[in-house]
Amino acid sequence: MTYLKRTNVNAQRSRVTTLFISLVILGLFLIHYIFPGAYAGLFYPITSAFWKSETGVLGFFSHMAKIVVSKYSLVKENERLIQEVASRDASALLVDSLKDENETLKATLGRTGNGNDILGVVLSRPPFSVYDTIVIDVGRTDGLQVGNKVYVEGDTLIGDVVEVYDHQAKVSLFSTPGRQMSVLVGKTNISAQATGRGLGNFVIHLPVEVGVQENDIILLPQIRPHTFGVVETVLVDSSDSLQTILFKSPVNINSLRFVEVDRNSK
Amino acid sequence: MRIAFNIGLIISILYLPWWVGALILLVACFMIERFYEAFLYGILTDALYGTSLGIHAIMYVASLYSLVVFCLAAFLRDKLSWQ
Repeated sequence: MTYLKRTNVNAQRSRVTTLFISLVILGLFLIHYIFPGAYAGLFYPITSAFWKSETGVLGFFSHMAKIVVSKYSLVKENERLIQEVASRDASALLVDSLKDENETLKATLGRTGNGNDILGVVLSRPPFSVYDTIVIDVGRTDGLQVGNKVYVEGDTLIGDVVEVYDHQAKVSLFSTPGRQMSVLVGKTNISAQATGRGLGNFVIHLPVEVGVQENDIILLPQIRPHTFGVVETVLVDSSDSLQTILFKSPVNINSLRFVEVDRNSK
Repeated sequence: MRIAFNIGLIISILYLPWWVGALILLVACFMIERFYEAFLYGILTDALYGTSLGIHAIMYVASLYSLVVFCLAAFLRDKLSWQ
């Protein structure tokens, strides 16, 4: 006896469902590919509210944890900080006077290093983002543009604005893995190509003959006074004609709370 | 369990380090049959955090990761036993 093979209705239905879902997902991805800012513009107003609440919740628990710390250790910490502040006061005064002198000299020559800064609250930072990006709560309505430079604590340059929305902006850190920057190394301002390694870390390869030492300052070629990085380690291999210089941003990217965006810079 | 994984992924994208989300996505794809939402979370992560610079010039890393994990799970799931 011969039986006709039954059509498996369930399998067929499942295949149609899979095809439909695949097409929907492909469509969503194509929208993201063609209009890169579409979803971000849609979701940022919602996610910003969550990120702001997160800052509040974490801040509360952080303060609660500090209260639990023993009073003795707090007294010791207080004493240490008072001494540190006193030792830095003198050098801070000198730095201020040098900054003023620097700005006066630039003004005499018809240039200025002063920026048009706006303070931004960091809504999201690494390591939430795998891309080494931060999201801030100022955007187009505050006069931000793509390419504006982003500073921390006034003079530490960390990145630039890459996407601007109405009330938020996305900042790409210069340390984004694989991102290349032209930098000036050390007191003699040697030009070099730095490559980002993520979380404020960079690497430079220079000939061994070039004298670079630990704690040398790294700058970007621009008129505004700033710090870009500080040399952490210099690795020299006797079998290699190049030395590897590892440097990092002086600020801790993971604990960023505020940044300043220079609206005049491009 | 599907809803729990979805909630976990939303929280991890917004509040937790990226590798936590990557791990949850991996587990979800293996534990739940046809976890299509993986792609949505990949696209969402790219939209919220990604830039045209990418990582080492590779864009859409999260979308790519979710695609790889989903395909790998679909291929290996029937061959694995959880007992």
